[in-house]
Amino acid sequence: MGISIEQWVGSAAVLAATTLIGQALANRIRDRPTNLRRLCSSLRVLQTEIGFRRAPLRDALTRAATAARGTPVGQLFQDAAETLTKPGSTAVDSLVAAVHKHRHACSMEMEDAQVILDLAQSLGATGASDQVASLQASIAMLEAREREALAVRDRFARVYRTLGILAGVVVVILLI
Amino acid sequence: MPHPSIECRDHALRSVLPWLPQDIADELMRLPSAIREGMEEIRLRAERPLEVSGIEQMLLKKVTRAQISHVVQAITGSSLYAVEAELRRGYITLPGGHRVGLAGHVSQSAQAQIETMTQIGSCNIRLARAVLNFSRRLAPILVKPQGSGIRSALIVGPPRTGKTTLLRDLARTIGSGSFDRRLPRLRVAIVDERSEIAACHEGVPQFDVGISTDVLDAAPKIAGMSMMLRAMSPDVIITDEIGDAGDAGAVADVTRAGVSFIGSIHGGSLADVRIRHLLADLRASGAVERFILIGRSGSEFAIQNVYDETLREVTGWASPSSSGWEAQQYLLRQP
Repeated sequence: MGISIEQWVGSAAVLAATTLIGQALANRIRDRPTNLRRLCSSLRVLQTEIGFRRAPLRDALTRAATAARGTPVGQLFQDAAETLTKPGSTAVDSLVAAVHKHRHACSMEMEDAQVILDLAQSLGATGASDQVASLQASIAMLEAREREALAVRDRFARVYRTLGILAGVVVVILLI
Repeated sequence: MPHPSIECRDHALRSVLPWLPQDIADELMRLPSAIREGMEEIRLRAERPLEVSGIEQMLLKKVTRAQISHVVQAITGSSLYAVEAELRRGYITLPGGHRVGLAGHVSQSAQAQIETMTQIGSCNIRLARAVLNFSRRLAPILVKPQGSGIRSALIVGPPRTGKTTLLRDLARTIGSGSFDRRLPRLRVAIVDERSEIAACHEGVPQFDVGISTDVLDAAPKIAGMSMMLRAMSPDVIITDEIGDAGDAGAVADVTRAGVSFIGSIHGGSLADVRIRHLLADLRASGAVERFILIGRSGSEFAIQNVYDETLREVTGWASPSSSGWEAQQYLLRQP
């Protein structure tokens, strides 16, 4: 019994889809440590701008965005800074909206995002020394998550990619 | 046709609404237009009713701690750490010149100096208004013969009689060349210790204080006058609320340098015991040539009398009635 042309096309589509899913998951695992590192760097800029320069938060966020220019993390901080320029807007609203908008592009897990969302609750609402302490705590938490993300990447990045292809092959065999 | 000042007061209220939580803003806008138009202050106190005052005082629904926190975040641009100097003074100036007084828990340094304020529980938003051209009626007694300059003057009056408002309009007209036809535009320097005359927000005066006017914001008066004298070579120095012998000495230094001085002082009259010694010092040094006594009659501000350095009454200035003062009130810059 031969394989029809439709079966060939269907199999190819299934294989392509599972491979792409595997690739996307692998990319997310691969990019997460890099994005977490960028997030930490931007938070360090924020810490300097607030702790030493006493720069208004919108300016500090813009500088943090510049430190990660051209990346989704940079875009996240840029969006938060732009929202904050509107009269009456607050750090909580602007940062929470930016995190929800860019979380997936930044390959952030919900727990990663939660660190920034928690930080947003007190950002700009206390004196400089408290702000620095709060930023340091967030940076430490993100660094810990980065280490964990690196371990996950080393263990699973290739696995997901291979698994995507293999899952496609299995589905094709079952269907045929 | 509505009164021009009325339209503008309502505009002042609208311009502070973006800094308030939405439900409070909605509640204020639901008030009858007569209340909105006469509104002067909005007071928010945590877990107590919202209070508005002006032509009428009213209590509205309870303000929550979260709403106060929202207001503080909004007015500080979520940068409480960047406004610690303002917190030490107790107020923050918004775009438009509106002033928000704050009260909360004060932290002190080891030297018993106020370091910052936290746990803010009360905000008092004072809606800003400006008065235009009222000062021009003083031109006949302040402009020197042939328009060769301005006489140094001291405005004397009790609180809330419009001393700062008059100083602001003097700065604007003198610094814009519109004070008197005989007088060219002069360089004016404002030493604004309490940020009330120009209401600077991020370095930009929120009131029109004249095109040739420089503002030294939040500077101590004595050091500030000396700085402006050296740095900006002004024709006129304007400052608010002089109060002690040190201030009088600094004023004398200004006038000795050939620069005119215009300032204000709290006092009910020239015989007021609290200011008698200071006035005597100023007269003895010849630093002040005109003493302008202002007061309030009903809801109107009024120039009551003008005296020269020998305390002889000076005449020749425009009508003592302040009609037109209220009618010309409007907000100069809207955010």
